[in-house]
Amino acid sequence: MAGRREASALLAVIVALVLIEALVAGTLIIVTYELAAARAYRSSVHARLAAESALAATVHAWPLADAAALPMLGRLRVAPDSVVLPGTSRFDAELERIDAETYLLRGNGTAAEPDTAFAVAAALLRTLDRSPLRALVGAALTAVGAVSVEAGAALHGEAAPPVSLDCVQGFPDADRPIGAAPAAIVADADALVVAADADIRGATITTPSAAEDPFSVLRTGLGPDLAIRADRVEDGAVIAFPSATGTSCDRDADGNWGDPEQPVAPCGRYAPLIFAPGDLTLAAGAGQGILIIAGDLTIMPAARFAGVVIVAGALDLQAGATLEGGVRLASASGVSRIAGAIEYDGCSIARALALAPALARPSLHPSRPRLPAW
Amino acid sequence: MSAARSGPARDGFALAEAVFAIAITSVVAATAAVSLSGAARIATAAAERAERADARRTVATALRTDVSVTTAADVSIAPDTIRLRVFRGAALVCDTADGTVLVRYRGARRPEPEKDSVLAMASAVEMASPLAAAADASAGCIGAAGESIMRWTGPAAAPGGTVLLLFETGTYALSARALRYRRGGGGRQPLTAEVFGAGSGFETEARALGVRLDAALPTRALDWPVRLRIPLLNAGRP
Repeated sequence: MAGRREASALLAVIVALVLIEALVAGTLIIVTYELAAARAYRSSVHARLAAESALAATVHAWPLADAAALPMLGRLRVAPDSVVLPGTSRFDAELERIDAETYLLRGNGTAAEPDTAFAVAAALLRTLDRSPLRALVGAALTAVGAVSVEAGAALHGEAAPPVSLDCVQGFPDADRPIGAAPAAIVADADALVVAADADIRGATITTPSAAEDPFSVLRTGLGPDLAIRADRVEDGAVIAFPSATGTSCDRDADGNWGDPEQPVAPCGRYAPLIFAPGDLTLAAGAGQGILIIAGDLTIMPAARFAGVVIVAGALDLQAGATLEGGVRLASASGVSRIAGAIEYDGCSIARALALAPALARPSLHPSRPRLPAW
Repeated sequence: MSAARSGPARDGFALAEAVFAIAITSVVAATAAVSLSGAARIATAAAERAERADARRTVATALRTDVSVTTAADVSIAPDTIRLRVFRGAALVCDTADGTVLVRYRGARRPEPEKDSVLAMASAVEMASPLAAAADASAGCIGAAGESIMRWTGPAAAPGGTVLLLFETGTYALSARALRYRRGGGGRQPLTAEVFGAGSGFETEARALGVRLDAALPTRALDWPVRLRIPLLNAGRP
């Protein structure tokens, strides 16, 4: 009797233990499965972020010359070395030119820990169509409002340049203006007051298109926030002078607006897009590029700028100051005063449009910038 | 005499022993039953939780895979369904001839003309057309690793470099307690176990798809109900 009772109790305990062990084993299996899933997910996220980083790093350090030299459907392997990813994540990218201005960028990301994972990301990029920007400066001076060209001032258009002129070496499709450029394009002929002894070379054309807002063109091409796109954001007074260390142009140096005097110098091919959110004074020195002023611009005597100048407010070009390229004044109110010289120069415009780093960086395709990728 | 005394004494002892044994056995059995019941309840809860976690993971993975590569124009969101272009591959046009386009193709699977369409990205305009035929080609285009050279019939003539996106039209539904997928006009196939409650569904969020997942059975798990936000492609920063 007692032996049977002990046996049944033992049996009950064994059954209970087996069930408990089964429960524990089941829980362990579930936990192991969840951990494996979590590891795989973590690796896939690392790989995906690496692929995204490949896109961002390539756009940031856009291989300007190599991309421009790519033939149609030509491919370029890019290994951005400016960014080191944490852990075992690695990335590279492949760039393919699919038409004159459009590139397909494919980023590959891998992660080796905790599991091995691979991910791809793709973006459709377009380099900027510079022709709308070039069209903004079709004369030495294009203005919508009142302009006073004072005695001793110069306003020079340009005769048709020779066809073979190579303004920007290395940029075969640089947007060099073709044909003659007038001295001035204005929306209202009466608003342009020219002193008797001012030096005007070239025609003055009156057209309503001069009243079109250049900043809408800029924002369409460069994005709504010009300060983000610009190579330099300036305010107050600036003395412009090139700054180089050895053979390398120090683009971050204060006042370095490139070197228009020496095209082969280290900063000779640096022509930044400069944006001033308010008023700006170029107190002295020389610079080149694209100068976009949201307020008033004052250029003091002996200062010089070569390229494209677009001013939302009034321009005060003082005697002895020189602008080479093209100037666009967008303000219908206020009076701009020109006592210095504005000389239309198609090559300066072409160099600025071709060399400005801000214009060289691609932007996302407008309709579908990111593509599904495999 | 002694035998007469010892008989009833043994019987009484046996009765007490039996009562005691029954009591002990009852206690043991009750304890075991309670333990087993609790263990079974825990096991059931753990299994349900694992099943819900698996279903939630499947929802997130499936929708992130397909929805996150669509734009707002590719997807239509209703409370219990989303209808979208499910992209299965991308191709670049190499050449156009005789109503066909020669392409370099890379994708999740091979093109299947009976169910696939093509979205051609010509400049800023996108144009969809059915894929009538797709055949392997061997020349006329140099593909990269992982790409197939194919000749497609159906897409309009497009210049070299045009991007073609291959897609099927699909519908995801949170219905009958599961996530289901229906390709074209076909039947809905369940992708998950039937664990979702009536409060589950889709909603439009700013530049994203919102997903609410409610548990079909009551749960005290802190991570339920679940809200997922799946950004649409091109909806945020590059």
